Amino acid sequence: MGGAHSCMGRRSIVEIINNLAYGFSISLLPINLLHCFVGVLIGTLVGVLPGLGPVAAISILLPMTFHVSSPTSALIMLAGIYYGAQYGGSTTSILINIPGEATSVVTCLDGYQMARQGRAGAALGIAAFGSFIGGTLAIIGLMLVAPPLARFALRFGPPEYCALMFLAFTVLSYIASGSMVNALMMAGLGLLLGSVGMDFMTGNYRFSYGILALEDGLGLVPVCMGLFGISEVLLNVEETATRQVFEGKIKNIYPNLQDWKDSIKPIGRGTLIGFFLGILPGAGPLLASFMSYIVEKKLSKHPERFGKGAIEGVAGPETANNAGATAAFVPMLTLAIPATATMAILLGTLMMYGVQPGPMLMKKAPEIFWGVVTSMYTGNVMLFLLNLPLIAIWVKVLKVPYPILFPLILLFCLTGAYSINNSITDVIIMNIFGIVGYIMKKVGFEGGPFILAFILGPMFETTLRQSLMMSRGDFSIFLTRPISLILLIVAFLVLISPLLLRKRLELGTDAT
Amino acid sequence: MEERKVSVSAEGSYWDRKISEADDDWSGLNMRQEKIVLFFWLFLCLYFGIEAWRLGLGVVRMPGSGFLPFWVSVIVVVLTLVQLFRTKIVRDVQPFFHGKRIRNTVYALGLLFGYAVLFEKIGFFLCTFLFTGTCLKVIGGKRWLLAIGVSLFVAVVFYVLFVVWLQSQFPMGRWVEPILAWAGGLLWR
Repeated sequence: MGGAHSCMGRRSIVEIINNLAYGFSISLLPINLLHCFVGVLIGTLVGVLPGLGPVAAISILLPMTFHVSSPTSALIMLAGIYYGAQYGGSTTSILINIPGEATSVVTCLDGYQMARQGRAGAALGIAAFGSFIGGTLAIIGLMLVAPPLARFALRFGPPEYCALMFLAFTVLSYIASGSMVNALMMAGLGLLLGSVGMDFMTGNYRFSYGILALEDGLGLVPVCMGLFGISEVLLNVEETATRQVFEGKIKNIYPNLQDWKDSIKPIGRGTLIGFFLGILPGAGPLLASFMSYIVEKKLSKHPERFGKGAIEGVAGPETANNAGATAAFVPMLTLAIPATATMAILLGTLMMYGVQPGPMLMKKAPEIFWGVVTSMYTGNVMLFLLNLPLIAIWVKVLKVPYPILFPLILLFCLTGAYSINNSITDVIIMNIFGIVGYIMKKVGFEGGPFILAFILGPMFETTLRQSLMMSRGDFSIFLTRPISLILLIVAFLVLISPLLLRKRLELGTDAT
Repeated sequence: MEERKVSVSAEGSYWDRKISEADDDWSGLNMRQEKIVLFFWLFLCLYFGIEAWRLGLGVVRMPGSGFLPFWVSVIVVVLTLVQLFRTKIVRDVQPFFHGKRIRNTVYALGLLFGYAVLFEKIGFFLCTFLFTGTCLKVIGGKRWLLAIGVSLFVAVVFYVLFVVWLQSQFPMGRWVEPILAWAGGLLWR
């Protein structure tokens, strides 16, 4: 028995080593190395520049990849933008107290205080080291978890997939920063607009009214560019604050022995928190960074130091958000369920290239799966080299005035939208979604749940209808199959948790 | 562009100020804006619901094309009504748009739609040049000379990137195409 176990263990180690070697043989090709470098460079840039996140950057650059890249190279570059932005986001948090990325909001609390105390170098250094360690360990986790998860997902039928997608909608709506009802409404609108075009089960056209551009459905790229790129610019040109950039010389970027002693445990915990929260559909790196900060503060012997320049408050969340960003690839690559809005766009990219994501991806397109996974190792090394020695350059980038920057962002959106189909209709659709995104952001509606539902909508509808056909119209099919039942119970708990939380708070207030 | 200096200090961070400013300026405004958006949302979903009904719901054992859109519309209409009910009516509200603040957004939108209208008529190069120059001058408040110089540089860079390198099939315009072909020929030689 024990012998059989050790034999299986040895076989899986050999399998991992083989896969790793195969992946590196793809990701180390010069063209893929170049794509990886361009991706992490742009990622760091958009992370450093407040007001332009990875979602917008990926949407803007997506049309360009159609001209020059294979699906593997395109995904390597776009993934590089995603995890590169997590690195870059910390720079602005520490130096100017403005998070370049939502996942770096927590880093502002202690990172900026460290900079004010003359320890900007140590804060930037530990953020980069933490990000590198968290990112690299999470890739190992991804390699270990993804293959068995994909094998397990082969047992999934339409009801399980439908329940899993429902869970993803609810979790992403739950963690949206505004009201959960607003987020659910956005997810609903995403499902409705995702149904525009041909119904693949009956061949009927829906909501297209004979307009040729709508018969294939609303394009992912113009919708994303409008919602995330154009709307962000429209908000920023309305009100531009001059940024006060850290003026002092940044020195001692390598943490000292005491810094390492204080940070090593938060880095370890941050990796675990980031990885496990990153895997959850809908959770992603944002929740991981907040959770890591809370855990570090709770475990600290001196919690009063938090918010006043505690290095643990930088090391933990920065590690967690990078580990979370990497782990978010697990559900996307194995189950075709994106954990974040960015992952939803990457999933859409795969579909646009004609690659079917899901459990079979590893078998049918191993070059994409293992190529992207191993490119993250090289990407992390590149990011480490880009971020620490070149910190002075990134500080200079921060000083580029927005009036110069925004016409360029708009031009990339305009030309990118046109270049997909050489159609001005796509540009008009993008502009309309720009206005929609602008208004939605002003009244507290988030784009994340919308885009997730918009991309997964057709798949959700197909699996729902297939499930009902399988059961001859009996909804209990979702409750009689154990996996879908568990997923639906979790989704239900997520849905009612705000009510339970409010009830508990009310009871607490009454008691006091 | 209207620029405000934001000082960063330990007592009041950028984000604290942003939040307090937003509270001062937009508290009433948000309520009214949200109500308008929610009503728009309500009508949009009602419209989707009616159209989905027309498409045909089918039967549960064989759902039709309108099945999911119809039931999603119903759920979103219910959620919208819940939100409308929860949003308090505020009488003393700020005007919908804040004078100069909105001006830049309106200009930017005008330029975006203008680009879409003119793109196929005057061509990619000229359109990009005019778009960048107008953005820099009208919204960015830059000097004419700087605006023209930067926009010419941007138009050339975008031409090289998209047309020469990425081989995008962009319309070039009746007058610009021969000039670019001549310039390209000179460079090639």
